[in-house]
Amino acid sequence: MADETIADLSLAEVADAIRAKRITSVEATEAALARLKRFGGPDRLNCLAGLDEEDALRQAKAADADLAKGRARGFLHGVPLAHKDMYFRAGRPSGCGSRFLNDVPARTTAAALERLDAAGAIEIARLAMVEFALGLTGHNVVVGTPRNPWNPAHITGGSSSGAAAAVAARLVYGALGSDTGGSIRFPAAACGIVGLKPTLGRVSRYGALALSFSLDTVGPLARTVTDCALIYDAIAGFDPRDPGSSRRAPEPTVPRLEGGVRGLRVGVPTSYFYDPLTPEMTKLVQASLEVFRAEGAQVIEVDIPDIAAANPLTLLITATEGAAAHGRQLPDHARDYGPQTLARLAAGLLVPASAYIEALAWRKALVRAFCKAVFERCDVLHVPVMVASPPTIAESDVGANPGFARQMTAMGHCTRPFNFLALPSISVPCGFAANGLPAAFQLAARPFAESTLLRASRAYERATDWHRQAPAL
Amino acid sequence: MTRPDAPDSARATLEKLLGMPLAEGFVEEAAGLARAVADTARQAAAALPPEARDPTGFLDTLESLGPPEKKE
Repeated sequence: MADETIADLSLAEVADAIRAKRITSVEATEAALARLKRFGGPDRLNCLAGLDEEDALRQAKAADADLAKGRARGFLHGVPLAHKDMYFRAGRPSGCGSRFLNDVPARTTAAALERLDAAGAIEIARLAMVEFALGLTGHNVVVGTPRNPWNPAHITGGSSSGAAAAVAARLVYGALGSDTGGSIRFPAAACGIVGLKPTLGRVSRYGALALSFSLDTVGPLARTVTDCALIYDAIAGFDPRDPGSSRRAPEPTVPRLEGGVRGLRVGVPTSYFYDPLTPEMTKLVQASLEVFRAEGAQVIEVDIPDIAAANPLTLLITATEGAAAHGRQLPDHARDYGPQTLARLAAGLLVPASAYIEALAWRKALVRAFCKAVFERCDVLHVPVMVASPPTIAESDVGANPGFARQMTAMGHCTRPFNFLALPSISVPCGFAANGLPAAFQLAARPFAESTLLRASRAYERATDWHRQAPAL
Repeated sequence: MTRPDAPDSARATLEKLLGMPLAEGFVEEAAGLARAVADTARQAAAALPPEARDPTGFLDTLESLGPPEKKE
């Protein structure tokens, strides 16, 4: 099979093909490596943080040898993946998008990587990201900004910027991202792929870069809903090494994926989410509701509690906990940080502790009120992801200049509330704006209802073909 | 008493914590962001009854709001 044909397969398809021995893991890995080298570098998408070709091929050969002996490790056996460069693997450095961590080998391996290893996946590269995962646009002034595969002049979104670009460009079949304020869903939306932010506590953060203990989540970015579900099922579950990990047993999502949406109640909020949207984005997002209706869902309007403070309070918690997480290295490395990252952490150093505690207290009250008002009336809430089509890299490059806080707040209008509320949410492609850049809608559900989210998203995807469209590189 | 996010004390605080002089405008942006989000937190919490002002046990709250857990 030609490299381009292998690259066009979805993660689920390539996993099936390897298991059925129609292709080998080495062939799939060689195809992915060839595309990563051709399109991932600084002169093209700039989405690559590190590549160890020899190690990737060694893993692929081992996977093929195991399969030849009848030993499939799991449902991702031999599938080449690459992840946001913040998942530590013992003995290997992860740069975390920074200027000064690229030579520091990790002492442990991230829980999410261990689980993907156990499912048989192989890790072939590290993908670029926003400096220390702090930023929704995708800019990284210290190590370089990835470019959107649909139009390289535009942002990828962040902070899982390289992951979104690489998956959308068919360089890898799927990737782990992280989401503290929208960092999986926003870049997934901007690059035309699927991104799932699980419920807080559903996927272990052990061995991943810490930004905000109260908000950080680990989740997949992939071309299709099924691909996201496959990665999510591999990584979800309790881990005693993460003090914020839930003991609830995760429900496998793949077996229920094709269940459809007949009778499912899809809620549309009557306030907040659409307030700052451009007319074009509103039209694109609302058009996706017609597909849900046609598939048998019941689309209903839902009054939601006033959540306007959730966005700025997510910024507060991120800045405060981020400042604490960076505390030991900040005085030694302050000059090595990019201006916007440093400004956000500096804001965290100035927030009074009482305000931080007040934000956490309101959060607990709000999630109760929100779930009661919303999820007693509907099964999933349907909202936008982005307020406008992704801007160009140049026009949105504000650094720490006056107005940066306003831009940063505006971009997370639709994503940060679900980090504040800790609810699962997913970004699903739903068309293209007039400038050729992707659009997406977002579904959110009650805590630990990832299975419902993925099933609803899959029903939409099955009825449309946005996920089959690939950018011309 | 001066609030730590007030511009006059913010520069001294940050320059001490970060160990370097900071550019004009940088401190004002950081302090402005800190002030805005802190004020939002105070306003949000003010609407809570006293018994709801406990921020602990968030994961327990989240788990209680999920669908019934399916046991094997």
